[in-house]
Amino acid sequence: MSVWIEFVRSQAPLLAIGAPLLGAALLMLVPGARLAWSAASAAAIITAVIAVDMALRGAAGAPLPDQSPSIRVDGVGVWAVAVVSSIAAFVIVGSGAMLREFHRRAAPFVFTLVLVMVAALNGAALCRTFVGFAASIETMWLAAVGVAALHGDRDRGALTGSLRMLAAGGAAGALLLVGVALVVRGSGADLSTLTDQQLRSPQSAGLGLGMILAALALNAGVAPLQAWTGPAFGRVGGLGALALGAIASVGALFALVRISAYAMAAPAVAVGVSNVLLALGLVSVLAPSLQAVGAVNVRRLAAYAAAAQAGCVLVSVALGSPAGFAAALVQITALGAAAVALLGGAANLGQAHGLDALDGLARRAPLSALAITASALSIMGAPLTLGFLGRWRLIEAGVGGGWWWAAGAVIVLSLAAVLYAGRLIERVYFKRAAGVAVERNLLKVALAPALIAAVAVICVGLEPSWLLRAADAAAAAATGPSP
Amino acid sequence: MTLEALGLRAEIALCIAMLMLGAVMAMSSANAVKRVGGVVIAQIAALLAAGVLVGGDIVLVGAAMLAGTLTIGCALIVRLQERYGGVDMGELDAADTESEPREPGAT
Repeated sequence: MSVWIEFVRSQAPLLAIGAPLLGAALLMLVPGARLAWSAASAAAIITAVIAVDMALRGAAGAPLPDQSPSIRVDGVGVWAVAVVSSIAAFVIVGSGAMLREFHRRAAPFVFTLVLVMVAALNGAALCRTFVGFAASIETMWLAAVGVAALHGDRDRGALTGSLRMLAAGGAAGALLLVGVALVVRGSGADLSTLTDQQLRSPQSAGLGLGMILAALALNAGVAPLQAWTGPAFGRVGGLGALALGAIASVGALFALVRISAYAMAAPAVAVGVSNVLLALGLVSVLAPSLQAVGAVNVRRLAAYAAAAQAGCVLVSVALGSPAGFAAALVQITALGAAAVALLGGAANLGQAHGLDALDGLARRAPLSALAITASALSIMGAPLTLGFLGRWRLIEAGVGGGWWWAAGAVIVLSLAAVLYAGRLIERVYFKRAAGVAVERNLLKVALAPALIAAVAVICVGLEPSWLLRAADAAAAAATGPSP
Repeated sequence: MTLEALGLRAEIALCIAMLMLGAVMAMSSANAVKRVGGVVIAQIAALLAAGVLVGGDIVLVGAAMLAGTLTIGCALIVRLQERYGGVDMGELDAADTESEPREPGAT
């Protein structure tokens, strides 16, 4: 048995990509929604166990699996794989309550595409070359469009949302391709840490990196490139929203952090990259916060809230310091956990996804209400939540780097979040339902992932030392030793 | 700057201009078919630029991306026609707005 465990550990990076792909291939042979859900859950849990084990061993100082010609294991990559795989396992297991959202014959294809998304994001986190990175991101995006489109059987609005995703993602893919070509020409095809000596053409590399970051920002739903998020999130159903918000957006943000860590090592391009990230980050803190305040649909509100939080992630990365990257990793983790808790809890609302469906939810569905409340507190950045932790680390990193105004961005984000996330709590606990029905959740165990995410948001906020140490170690490995 | 370098920059500039044109068409056209067409134009431009700049594996990745986008785009257009009876974005958005649940007054 230990021989097999050692073998799996030695091939963990390859298995983190291969296990969900194998699961996706086998799902094409599985008939029926329930069987497909069970098989997909098994594949997702196996992937998550492998990824989390690799991350824990890395955090404990054990040597990571040997590098190979096509795979490179670094701090950000290991963290990203663990978080994305874990979130995907939560999403897929929790989707047992959402099987009625799509046609019974479409269910295996939906789960197939979600597993392909996971495999592609893990590939983007672990690949060695820019070409592999581009292929992974594009595969992830096309799979995400497919997941959204397959909800079109029940709600035709999902089709227009997916068309907007295809248009935006297609333009982003074109930008990504040209950006990768420019970077390869300017500095080489390897995604190892960049140095000034490796730069053959700083202008070409700098322009290429800017295009890659813009493309990834669009994929992550960062403002002002987030026009696709409202229509897509609003009509794609619970599993679609979770796949887009908790998997695709989180994975795209991790990819953005990875590319930024690569770029920040070379001073010749670091300043330009930092300015681009800062501009995008500040716009993304402001504009989606205003959109979220005016949202009347739970899923759209979640999309805008995620975009606003992503803005703070970009500001953290723009700092370029190990502390900034550590703050970004914590914030992305908080964003993912909050998305799972909010969208997983809201999935119990069934077809009713307006904010009014939350009225009196605490009496009708107390567990869903608990998940939504924990998520709202984290989004607000309430103390002793994971969301607060990420923002506090940003303030520390900003003040340490001389960017005292970064605290201002956090304050703006948090104040706006109090308005829109506070509305969720008000509706759940202090308003009476106006005849809106909540679908009976026959598979209550499927609520468990949302509840676990909600508990994690609070518990990790209470005892964050292990998470902070792991984030510091991952950021240091990605950027070099801390000063 | 040599003539060859100037020619290369001109080719890249042309490709990027075509990419931006395709992107604008993809984001703002009033017709779903034109939006998909815009995406295809942008990706072809990107493919040409990548081929001129480096060639090799990246062209294969770009070609696969183009094929995937075109396939999904065509499928979406057919489904939109089936479910909405048209592909005009204005009509689609109006139909979606009409079917969006309205919020009742607070109690």
